[in-house]
Amino acid sequence: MNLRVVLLAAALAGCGVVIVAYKIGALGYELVPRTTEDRWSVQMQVRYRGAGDNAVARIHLPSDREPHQRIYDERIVSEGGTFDVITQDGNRVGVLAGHVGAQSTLSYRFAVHLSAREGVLPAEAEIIDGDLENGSAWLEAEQYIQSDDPRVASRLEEINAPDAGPIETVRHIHGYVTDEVADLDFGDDTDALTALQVERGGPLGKARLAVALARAAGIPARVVTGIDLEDGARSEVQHWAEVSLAGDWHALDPISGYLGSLPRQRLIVFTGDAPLLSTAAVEDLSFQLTAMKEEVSQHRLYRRRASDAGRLLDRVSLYTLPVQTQMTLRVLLLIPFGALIVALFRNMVGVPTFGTFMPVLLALAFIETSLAIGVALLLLIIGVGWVFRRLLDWLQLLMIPRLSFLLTVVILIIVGISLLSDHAGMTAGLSAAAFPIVIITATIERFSVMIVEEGPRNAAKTTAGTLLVALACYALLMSNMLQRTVLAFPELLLPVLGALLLIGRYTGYRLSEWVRFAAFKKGFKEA
Amino acid sequence: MSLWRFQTYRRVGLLGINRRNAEYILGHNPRRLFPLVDDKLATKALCRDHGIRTPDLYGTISAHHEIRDLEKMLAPHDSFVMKPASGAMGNGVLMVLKRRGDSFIRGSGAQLGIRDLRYHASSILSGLYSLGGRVDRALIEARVRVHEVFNDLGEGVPDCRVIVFRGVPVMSMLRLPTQMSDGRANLHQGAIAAGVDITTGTTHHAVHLDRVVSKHPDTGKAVRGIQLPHWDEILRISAMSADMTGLGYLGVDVVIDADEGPMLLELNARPGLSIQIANGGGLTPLLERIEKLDISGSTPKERIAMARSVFAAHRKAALGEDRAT
Ligand SMILES: Nc1ncnc2c1ncn2[C@@H]1O[C@H](COP(=O)(O)OP(=O)(O)O)[C@@H](O)[C@H]1O
Ligand SMILES: [Mg+2]
Repeated sequence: MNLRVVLLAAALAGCGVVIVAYKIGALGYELVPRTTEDRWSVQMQVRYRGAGDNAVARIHLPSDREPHQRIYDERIVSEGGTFDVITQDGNRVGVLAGHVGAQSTLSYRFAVHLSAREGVLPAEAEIIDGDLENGSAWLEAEQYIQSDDPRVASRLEEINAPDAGPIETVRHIHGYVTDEVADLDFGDDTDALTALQVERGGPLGKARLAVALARAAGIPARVVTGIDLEDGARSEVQHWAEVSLAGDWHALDPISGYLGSLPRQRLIVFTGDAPLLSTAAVEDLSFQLTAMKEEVSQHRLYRRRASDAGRLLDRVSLYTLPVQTQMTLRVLLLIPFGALIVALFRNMVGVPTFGTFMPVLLALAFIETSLAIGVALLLLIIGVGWVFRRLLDWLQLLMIPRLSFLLTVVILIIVGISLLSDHAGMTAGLSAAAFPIVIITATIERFSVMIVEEGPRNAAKTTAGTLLVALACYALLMSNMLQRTVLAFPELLLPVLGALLLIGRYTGYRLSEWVRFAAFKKGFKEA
Repeated sequence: MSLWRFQTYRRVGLLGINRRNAEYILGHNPRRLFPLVDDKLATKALCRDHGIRTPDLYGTISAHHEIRDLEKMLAPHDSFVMKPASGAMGNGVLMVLKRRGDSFIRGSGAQLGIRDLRYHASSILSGLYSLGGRVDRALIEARVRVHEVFNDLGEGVPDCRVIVFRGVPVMSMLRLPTQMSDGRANLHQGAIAAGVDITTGTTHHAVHLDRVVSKHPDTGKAVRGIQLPHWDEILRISAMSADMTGLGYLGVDVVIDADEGPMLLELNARPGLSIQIANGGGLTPLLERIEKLDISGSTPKERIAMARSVFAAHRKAALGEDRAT
């Protein structure tokens, strides 16, 4: 092999390794950065049919003023009604007004970053007498929070020491409501007094009781409603209490038992004990809540380091970019690795594929669709497309209009799959649009020409080869670890360049030639 | 241990596709010369200037509106071949043997109407058969008539491929069409490949679909020991093609017309590797010997002589090696 190429490749690989080693050794990077933040994609969907003139659904939208949750990319799609966001009692409320007999839907999507809330209650000494900054409104009795009821006062006396300070009082209330009041799975609308009397309650009942006890003790308190996010459709609405101490609100969660802090996956939606969704004059109401978790690398830490440090290598860190860009770059940076795999398979193994980078593009699509569904959808699209292509043969169309026709057919197939799967209630098919449509069209054309020109066996072989390489690329691109590592060390692309140079000058046999020249396996000596 | 077969390949001197691409094609065939061989009309023009015969050109179709004149263009001819100017691997080659009434009879016996021919022409123009789907031209040329030595060796015209390196013929094979290959002499379409002794022009070995055969599968006639007529002329055409194109590593396809003798059919700047299977031997040792020759200022005739001596030397070395092992 060409010495210059080998030296250049070695130099590239060496540079990459040296930079990585320096960043790890001197700058304290981790080879595989840990994740510390959670990024969620959440979707709330409300659907109803108007049953009266004032058909309306009101849904609380998540609070955008919490320091530990950052909401962005909000997208609202409403149909068959008018949609407005209003502010009510300091909360954001989405109002979807519909018409009699008409179907109204609202799909509200957003992405949110949740970071750990490691709060602690202040020390007793920090409390100044008469600390009511958060307003006396949070001390008054309400319809379901009967803090002025004598039974509440007497229970408070039972569980609290007579000379306890506010912190101690909060701890006592928390201990009592969490441990002594039993959990109910249902009966979300228990009021404070009922919960107190039967010593049982759901999340809302227990939260109301905690608030009532705190208010009775002269500590401003309120109910907060939120969602415990879980991957899939299992997210649950949660209620808990917040008490105001030394001018700050502190969480008191009588269900999960948190005090001063909250579970990490908790999304705070609004304050108050109103329901998350309320409606009037509607029928056939459905409400769906889905959440999807995505991991984000330790970007904040690196970002801080990048902006503080004077060193050039820190400055050019990709962590200084917006998160959205980082998410894109994470996949983008892996594409050269995918291309490397393609080069390996094609030039060293000799696997035939449709188009050079088709496998990489397919792998990218599979990431969107998930693997099994992606492969199934792909084969479906190509299969149906091929049938149409056969029919077109019959009409004897010129190539460009024929390809354009086929392209349109492919798009129609994808639209059809999306519609069908939506009707069947399967979200899986909706991802069909992720496929690179133009390239799929070209593949269908090449596939059908290949069947005619080189026989179905070759066409099947090439299809299998394409899928095989796509799967290999997929496995690589999906590697979360690799994604994080390459984002932290983009210089790893230098060794990739080196490897590509080496493959580019590899003049040995391809593995496929093992079979192709099988006639020579004994040296081909003739009689 | 699992790679012992590659060891054998290396000993035989089999040229693999990576090495062919990296050393011979990238190293000896400048990109700018490719259009000369990728476009059959350009090759034809080049041949005319250098006194090399090619099948008569009946006409070309370069634009869709010219398809209307197809019928007029074909009127004087009973048999012809329509093919893409920049096709490859036999794709899109349509051979008409004769007419019957209004229809045309293909090599395979299938009947076509003028409508089918028009559609075929338009598929060619829109690039269906060209590399990368680029717009193409269709050419209609005389059908080469089979020479009598190829009687009973299948329907269609055998073509003779000669690999030429630095102007020196290296290795040759005869491709015999079969029913399976529909009259076309392309190997992966099912044609037979018979290795031709470069010094004498006789076939010495043959494979069909990568398996060694001695008889034609359709007719049962022996495919070894066929002496190609006009062998010296075939070698001359091959050696001259290198001069005329400037390509260092070249595949020259020659057909032998019953009356007119050898004609150049097409040139290939990326000739395939199956010729080694057809000959039961590798290209590398021959190529390496030719690499060492001083060819500056040599005439085609001199290089044909070199080809013969290179082959003789190689055979001697191979025999010696055999005895030693
Ligand atoms: N003028 C012709 N007369 C007879 N047979 C032909 C003619 N042109 C092509 N063929 C047949 O078709 C095959 C492929 O044609 P060729 O011109 O070599 O195109 P390709 O570049 O596609 O290989 C030839 O090997 C030969 O058997
Ligand atoms: Mg050919």
